[in-house]
Amino acid sequence: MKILVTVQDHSIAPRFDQTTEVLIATGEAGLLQGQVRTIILPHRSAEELSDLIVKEGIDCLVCGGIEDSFYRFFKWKNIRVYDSVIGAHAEALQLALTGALRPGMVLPSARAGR
Amino acid sequence: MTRVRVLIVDAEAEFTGLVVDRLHSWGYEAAAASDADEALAVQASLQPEVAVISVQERPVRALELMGLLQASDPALKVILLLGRGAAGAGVRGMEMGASDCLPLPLDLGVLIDSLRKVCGRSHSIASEEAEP
Repeated sequence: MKILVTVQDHSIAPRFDQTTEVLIATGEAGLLQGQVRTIILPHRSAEELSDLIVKEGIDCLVCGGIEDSFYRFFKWKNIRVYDSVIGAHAEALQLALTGALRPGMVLPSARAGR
Repeated sequence: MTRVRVLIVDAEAEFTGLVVDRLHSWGYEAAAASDADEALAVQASLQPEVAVISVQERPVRALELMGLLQASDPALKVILLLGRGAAGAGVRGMEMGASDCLPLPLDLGVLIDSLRKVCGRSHSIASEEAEP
């Protein structure tokens, strides 16, 4: 499973369309396969980020808020979307790998930061 | 080992800021410039070994800047970052002496590999511990 997480600082980027950095990881059953890649986008653009997601063959998107049109597009492309997730990107990635992530989750790292 | 000095040129400060920050975490000495004037000023102060120049909306200007930077320092290595539709400029850049061309969005690992290749060093960082 190939996972893309939108990133801002060390957390999940709160808005999909404002994202300029993403992590791409491949793994299964809680285990990473290979290196986590860091991709930096030249500017904020939901369209260009969507192009990247399709081009990379992403199976699972982890993000914060996302426009409904993009959400529907990814669903149509059979990409699993975990949106409105709040917390550290590393924690979200680990939960996505184990299958424990859910849309709208507020991760323990976010609660600890309050 | 001395840290490799890298100049990043792109009009988007958010993009260059992120790249500079990530390169610092990999042990590089990096600085950003948003236009040609700033790039020449940074070149004078930083004396970079590598310039990473973004080629997007104005490819001619990017290639002109590459020529200016190399005129100031003939030993300067150049890596071009190619946006959508900039492949032609990439070809011209390679003909002008660019060492490598990488696609945008930028894969940080690919940039690190390219910097190592261009600098002819297996490790371009001050110490192994600097790697994140």
